[in-house]
Amino acid sequence: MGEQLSLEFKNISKTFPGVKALSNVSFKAQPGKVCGLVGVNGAGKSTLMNILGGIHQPDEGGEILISGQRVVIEDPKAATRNGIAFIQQEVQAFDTMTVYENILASDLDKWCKKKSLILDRSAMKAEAQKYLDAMDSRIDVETPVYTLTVGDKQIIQIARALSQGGRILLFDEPTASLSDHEVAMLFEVIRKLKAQGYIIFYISHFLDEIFEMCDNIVVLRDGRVVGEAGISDINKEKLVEMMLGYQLEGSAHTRKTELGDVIFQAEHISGEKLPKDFSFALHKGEILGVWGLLGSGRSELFNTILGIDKMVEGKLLFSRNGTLAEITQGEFYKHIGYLTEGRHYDGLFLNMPIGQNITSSNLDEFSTRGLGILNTAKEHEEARRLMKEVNVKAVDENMKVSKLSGGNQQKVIIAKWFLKDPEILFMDEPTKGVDVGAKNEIKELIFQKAENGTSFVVISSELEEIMSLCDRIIVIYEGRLVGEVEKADFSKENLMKGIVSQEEGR
Amino acid sequence: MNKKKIDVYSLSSYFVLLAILIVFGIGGNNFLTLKSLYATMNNGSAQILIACAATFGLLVGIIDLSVAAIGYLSGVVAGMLLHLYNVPYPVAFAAGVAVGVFLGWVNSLLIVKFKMNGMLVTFGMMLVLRAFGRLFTNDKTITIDNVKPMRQARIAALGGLQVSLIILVLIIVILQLVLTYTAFGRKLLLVGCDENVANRIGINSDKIKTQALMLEGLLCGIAGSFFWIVVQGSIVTSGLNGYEFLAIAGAVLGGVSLLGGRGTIFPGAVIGSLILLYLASGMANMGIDLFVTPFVRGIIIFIAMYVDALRTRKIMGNRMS
Repeated sequence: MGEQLSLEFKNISKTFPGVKALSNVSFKAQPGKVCGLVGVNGAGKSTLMNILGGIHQPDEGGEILISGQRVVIEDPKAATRNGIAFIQQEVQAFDTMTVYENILASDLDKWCKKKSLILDRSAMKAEAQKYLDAMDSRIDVETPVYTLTVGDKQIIQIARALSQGGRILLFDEPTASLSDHEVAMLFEVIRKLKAQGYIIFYISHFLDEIFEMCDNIVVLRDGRVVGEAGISDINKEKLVEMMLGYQLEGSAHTRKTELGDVIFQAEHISGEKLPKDFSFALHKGEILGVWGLLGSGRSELFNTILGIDKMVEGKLLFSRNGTLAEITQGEFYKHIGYLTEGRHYDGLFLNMPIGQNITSSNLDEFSTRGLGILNTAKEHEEARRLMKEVNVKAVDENMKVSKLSGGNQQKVIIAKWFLKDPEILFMDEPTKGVDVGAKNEIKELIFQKAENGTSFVVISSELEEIMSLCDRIIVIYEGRLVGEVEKADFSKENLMKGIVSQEEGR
Repeated sequence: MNKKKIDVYSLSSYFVLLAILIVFGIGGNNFLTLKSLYATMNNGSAQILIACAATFGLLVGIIDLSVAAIGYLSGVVAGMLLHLYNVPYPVAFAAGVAVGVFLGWVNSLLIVKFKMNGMLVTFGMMLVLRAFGRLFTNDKTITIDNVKPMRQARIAALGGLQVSLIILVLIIVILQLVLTYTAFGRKLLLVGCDENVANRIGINSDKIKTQALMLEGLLCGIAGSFFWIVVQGSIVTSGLNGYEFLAIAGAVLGGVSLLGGRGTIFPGAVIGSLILLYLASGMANMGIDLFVTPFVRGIIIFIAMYVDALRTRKIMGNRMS
């Protein structure tokens, strides 16, 4: 690695029109260490990374030093030249091409045979293999990428970063779409890279990951560095307090335990693959948790009930005026809201204003019968009211959703469903990729709504969250119902019981 | 983060149109008279309405190449009824429009129901319809005399404004109002913006796309059986030929996105089409070689696409964190 590698930020500030995104950020990252960059949404993490990546320029007076040398990163290419590489949350890969082509895709010209346009495939394979070996990966360089898992694609992304000469690696929420097993694999790779003397930045909303992976932490809040600490000198509570600037209080709401009548009943629901013969009942005002491991068929259960995936067998009963009666999926959809897991690809119209997103699922309410003429004044007014209710931080309702942070985008989706005010809300990972502050706000919103009689069915893979949120949890394993735990008996052991007995029974 | 930032891009089409009018007004011969301005627009009324039709396809993300051919066949049906059977004009008109709506529905069947690629389905449709039209007319030009009074109806108080132009303006106003102020219009934009999301929130995007394609058919039908045959007074085999590209180019020139979900009828498609129309008539007026017109049109389209690319980048990129 030649001379001692280091990276230093000196007095980095960044002003956007009307917003000071960063002010006087200074800190130093060491080689062979994983530096965790934490902060709630809008704290300035992304801006700082964008400056390092050459997407934004810092204000006058700020300096970036790499190995003691001042560098100017005027564009993303300059970032690559300086050995800076990003490993993003969304895996970027060419699915139909092979592993080695993917790894070397950014610099194909270099791999032509002398004085020709023909690629030197054997040299390419050898080169690609070199980077995979550095990570002890056993991926075959000749396999097409579409056959690989997301985790393997992530590894390929890292190999690509290394092949471009990356020495400063930035992992931005790298585990968001990985399974537990793949996360463990990725961490192994990061540890190896760390041992080889790379500078590694790790950004994540999962505090558990931060504590597992990082050696030291830089905390940003409102564009300032509010704390720097070695990982052993800090605990979770302290870290959260630093990120928020105040202590996180427990919920003000004490959930009452008596629930209304059964409002919805799913009977023997089977999809084409998952779920299998799944039945459950939901009471009015209840928050029902659906818990299971990744791949257990949680999202498939929702999709099958709601008719997005094909329902092969089963029926839905829904209560209107106090009597349960069978209901078609099409009819049922009118009574519910569905907050999907992947808000970026199936939850929001990113290029549309906040206001139009909020009113999108309920346009009929704003339009006359017959001709369907929209009352846009009322639309704006309602959008503003809901933005206030769920506390969306934005200039106004005309701002494009794509310009909001993850937590605020999630709140826009919630506002959208609150406007429709359905009797049942299905939520798949409602706080995924959302920072601790917004997480708490979302939880409060759910409590409030439930108190007013809305029923919730919530999927969450975070145990702590699902236990603090729900009144009752049903456990799903390989698409089947394997357990049901009441609030009084909530514990990891009780939830795992059903799963363990299934695994043992095999 | 100003409250109201003026979007330069959305104004650019006005500037271009203005520039064209000024340049040809100075260089041309009697170009900037009401009569000549009206005449150009009146002659181009079918093209403008077809551009509006194509816009509805574009808004839901379908590049419809059959728009001009649907208009053509509607016109042929209406015209043949007038010519051969001497039916009253309203009947012929209704028949032509019905043909348009039906063809829009056929398009939707292939594109929405059978999930075939929109651009190629409508390209095939274009070839088929053109062939039908030539078959019906025996590939001959047919003159229709009984629409003459309608063609010549003008309002003297407005400098001889053609009644047909007033009808066009009315249709444009209604379409834009539908787009901005109705649930249907909003749903069109939402589906075009992201079909997947639309489905998840309970908007039936297949239904919306079908309706958009049928509305397209309706407008093409009106374009063919009213604006084409009434204004021209005859059916020629090459009628409305190439208008599908002029229509789409006009729409994009006016800021309608090829990716769907963004664009307007007015100013959008209408101003864009007027740019192409006045450019052509201005150059003809100045006696510039006829072969130069398509060349200049091509250049204008390149510029429009560049502006579109800039605008797309502005919307997609530059996320604030």
